[in-house]
Amino acid sequence: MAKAEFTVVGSSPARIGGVERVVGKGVYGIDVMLKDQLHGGILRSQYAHAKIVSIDISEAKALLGVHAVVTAADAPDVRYGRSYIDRYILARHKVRFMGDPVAAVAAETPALVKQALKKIKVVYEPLPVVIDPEDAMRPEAPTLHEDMPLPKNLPDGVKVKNVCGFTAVHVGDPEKAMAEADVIVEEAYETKMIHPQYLEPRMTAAQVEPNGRLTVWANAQAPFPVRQEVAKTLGMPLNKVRVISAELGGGFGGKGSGITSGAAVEPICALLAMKAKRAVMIVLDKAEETISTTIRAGAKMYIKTGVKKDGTIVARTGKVIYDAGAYSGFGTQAGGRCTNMLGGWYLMPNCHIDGYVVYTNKQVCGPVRGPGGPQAAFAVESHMDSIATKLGMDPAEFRMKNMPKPGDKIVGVPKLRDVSLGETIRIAKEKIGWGKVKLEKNQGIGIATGSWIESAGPGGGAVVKINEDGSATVHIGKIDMGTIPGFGIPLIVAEELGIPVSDVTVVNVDTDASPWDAGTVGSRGILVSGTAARLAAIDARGQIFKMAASLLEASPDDLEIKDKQIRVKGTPAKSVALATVATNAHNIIGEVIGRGYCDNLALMAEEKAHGSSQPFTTHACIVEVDTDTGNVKILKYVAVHDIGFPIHRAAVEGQIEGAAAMSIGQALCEQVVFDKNGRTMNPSFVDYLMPTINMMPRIETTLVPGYPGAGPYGAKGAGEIACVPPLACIANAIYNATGVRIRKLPLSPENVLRSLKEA
Amino acid sequence: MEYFAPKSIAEALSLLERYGGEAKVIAGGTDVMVDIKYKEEPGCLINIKAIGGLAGIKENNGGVRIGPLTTIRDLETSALIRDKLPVLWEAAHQFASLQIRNTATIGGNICRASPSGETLTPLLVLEASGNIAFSDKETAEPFINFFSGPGKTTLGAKGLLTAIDVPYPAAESRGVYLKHAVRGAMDIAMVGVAVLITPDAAKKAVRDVRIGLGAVAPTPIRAAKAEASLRGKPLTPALLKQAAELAASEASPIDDQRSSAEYRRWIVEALTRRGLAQSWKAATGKEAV
Repeated sequence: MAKAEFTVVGSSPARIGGVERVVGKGVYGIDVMLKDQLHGGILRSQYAHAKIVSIDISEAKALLGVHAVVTAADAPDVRYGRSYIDRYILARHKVRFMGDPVAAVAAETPALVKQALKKIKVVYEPLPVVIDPEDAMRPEAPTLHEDMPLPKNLPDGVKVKNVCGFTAVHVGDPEKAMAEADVIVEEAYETKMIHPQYLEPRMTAAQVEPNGRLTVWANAQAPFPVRQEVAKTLGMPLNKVRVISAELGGGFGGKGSGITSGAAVEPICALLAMKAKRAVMIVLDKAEETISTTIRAGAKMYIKTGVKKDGTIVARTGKVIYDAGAYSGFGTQAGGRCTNMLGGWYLMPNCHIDGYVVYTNKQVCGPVRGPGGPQAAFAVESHMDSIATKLGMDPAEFRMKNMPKPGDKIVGVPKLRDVSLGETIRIAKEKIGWGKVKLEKNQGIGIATGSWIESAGPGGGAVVKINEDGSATVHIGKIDMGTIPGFGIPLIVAEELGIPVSDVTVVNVDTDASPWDAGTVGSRGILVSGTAARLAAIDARGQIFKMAASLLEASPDDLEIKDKQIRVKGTPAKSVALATVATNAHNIIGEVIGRGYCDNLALMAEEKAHGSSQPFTTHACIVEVDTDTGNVKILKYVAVHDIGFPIHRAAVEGQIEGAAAMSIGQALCEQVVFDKNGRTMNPSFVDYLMPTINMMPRIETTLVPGYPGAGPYGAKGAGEIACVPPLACIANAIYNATGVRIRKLPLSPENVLRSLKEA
Repeated sequence: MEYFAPKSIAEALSLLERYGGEAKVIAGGTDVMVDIKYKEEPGCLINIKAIGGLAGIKENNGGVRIGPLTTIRDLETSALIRDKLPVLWEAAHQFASLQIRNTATIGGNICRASPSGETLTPLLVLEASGNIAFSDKETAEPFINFFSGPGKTTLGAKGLLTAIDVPYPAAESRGVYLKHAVRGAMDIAMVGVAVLITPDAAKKAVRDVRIGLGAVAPTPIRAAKAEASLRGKPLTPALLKQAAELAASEASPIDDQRSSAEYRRWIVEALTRRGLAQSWKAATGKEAV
């Protein structure tokens, strides 16, 4: 669809609420101040693996100003989890990572909370600790969860332990095809744990209402799953719990997995509020956040590919070992995704990959931006270059050689509707100057591609209410963290209703008022809420037209709205103000309420019939390696993306730049470092190295038109995919500069220099 | 925690005499406040910022006298420092963020005695000394003798640094301060190397050379063997390389979350080599041959 068809969709107006955020006037969760609010804090395990022998809270409780001290004994004996229900909100019997919540305190002041936490006496019996997931799978490894069974789908005869998820990908006859290959390349890749490091600390506040209902404020990406899990873990009926979304200062998936994300900070806070009979707020500090909340897991990936001399891939086999951490968390889903993606997004006629998701004594895997994707793409796209090198082929040409066409299948996707991958490679080569740019000594050029899923996960609804003045109030179930509520949704609703963008208000999520939603996760904002909001606006418009039709003595089908005026098409003089009709409506039906939803079954059926129109991308960069220090400087970086039709172009570019920057950080410097006892060695921003702006290249983004997606106006989700290619893109450029292939992240100065010296 | 803001050096010294090990002196607070928040609260905090006359930069007897309360930003924006003590200026320039430079003081950086302290290796190669006051005496102490371990100095619990004297190096000398960190100035240095080199009149041989190493030993150190290997000799690439290797062998770095000891040695070698080559070229207009 061409941009010219639309009034506001496809443009880039300033983000609603943007100025307030920039000048520091935005109201975040931490700004909530409830009547008689107490401060809460959590006592966390100081052992990565230990039996809890006893907990003595008497001294803490006796402190003046301490209103509640809670342990597992105060909570129902109920566990939570997603694939494995393996976790208590407060540790019972055992702790499994340093940071596991053991007890909590509510007191008058933060200093008093600290003091009381110190007075809680926990006797531990330390148990052997296992940090590396591959070690954790061995029979001699300590058992982390005594009562969790191995996955039912594990192949017969596989002797493993501590496995909490298994995915097998199988296509064709890889063994036979591998035997017939001319060239076989076999490699192993490894990525490290990184923390999403949103700047806004996690908060939650809870209060028991006079009628016994519980209200929870949370800066969670998924308020409805939080409601469900708070109710479950506290043994309350769902309708007695209300979760109100506090505005988010970043989440990146780190706040996206219900109560798992914050290690149950919401039900713990609620438990304190119930016991103290006062409102309680908990705010995590940065170090506490870094050691206890959900992360992007590290993965070990074994990959082997057979190719013909002409560059045709004939087979791939592989194994993924995905680190779930102390509890299953989002590990099974992210590890499964990683396993599928190790099969790549090129033609792959024969393939077998086993993916194991493994418990270790570390913090827990969450759905961090593109879960499983960057890890897999680091292996797949570095490996593609290794194969091309062995074949003596140009890496881009080798990729083109194995390019799927519309109608083809790739691993995990039975049918592709259209394939923009080749187009993104072509444009990226042109933008970076592939084969043309003159590289100085120690400079190198690299390319890497990526893809992301189109439809996975539940649908969701939207409600559009037309106010007396013709303005619109929109309810969706997705929270605002720089995503669609401030960008895409106002444009969509304004477009369909013929009103200015500034006349659209999108309401923060309140589970008592908003349509249910699985959360702002999985690049699903535009697909789910965008679709729903568009249909809701069209529904509202239809109702308005029906009422206007009698006033204008015309058929509703002949009406249009432009600039807040309802007109008869072709006879602009016959018009009535939207506000007039909207006001009239209030006297008749109260107000016009439009309803819309995204039907996931319908989406899946569409995808089955016509194929997936998933997004593709190619990134390319030029780096310079300091062979004395190992320092890598990115001189140029281009990101070429097909994300379908960009509803808010600047927002889409912002998402791409942000996601690319996040993975550039993972590529060059970020990792959570553990000692052998499972203690995080770099919990603060001094030691956890997020890249500064000085390290960041300008990310030159190009959006490729012409490949509509399943979202409204042909949009595709754009929040995650740019995280996928950067790791391999930079590693490939380093290889091009130095001739050294680095298969382990981060590509930090030390790792690079060591690799150069060892080569 | 008790809090004092003495108005004079004498008052501060008497407080230190009284509270000793329990007391913590605070100036810019960029380290102390973080420690209070995340580590231990001291029994008593002595804020010396209200003492007059402890900030400023002025020429003094063929050198510069710097007040300990002088901020890093004041050093960075001082024409005198940039002109006469460029090695110190460079360290001030690569010192964290502008906000931190506006707050942190040189005295604080010195007394914190972190092995990675940005200004320390330049002060060692410039052969600067501190004026140290106790309640009963006052001495001038060369900084080479001042640092005794991470966070430890000859000030002990009761001394106060009241001035920093930096003599001008030889007019023909040139130097550099090179810092290695993943994120540049924003990070604590993994390795810091300060080099000051003076050629002979013919610009053929090394008349004097000083090499300071930071973050690679319990205190900032001078690489004495590397220096000795160069003095009086023409600077050839082979000699330069050998001196850099000697410097690496003189370092005694540790493994920590920032980097391994081995890597720090590699960087000492690389930065010493670079520092010597750059300084030699600046001093003589020629590459080492």
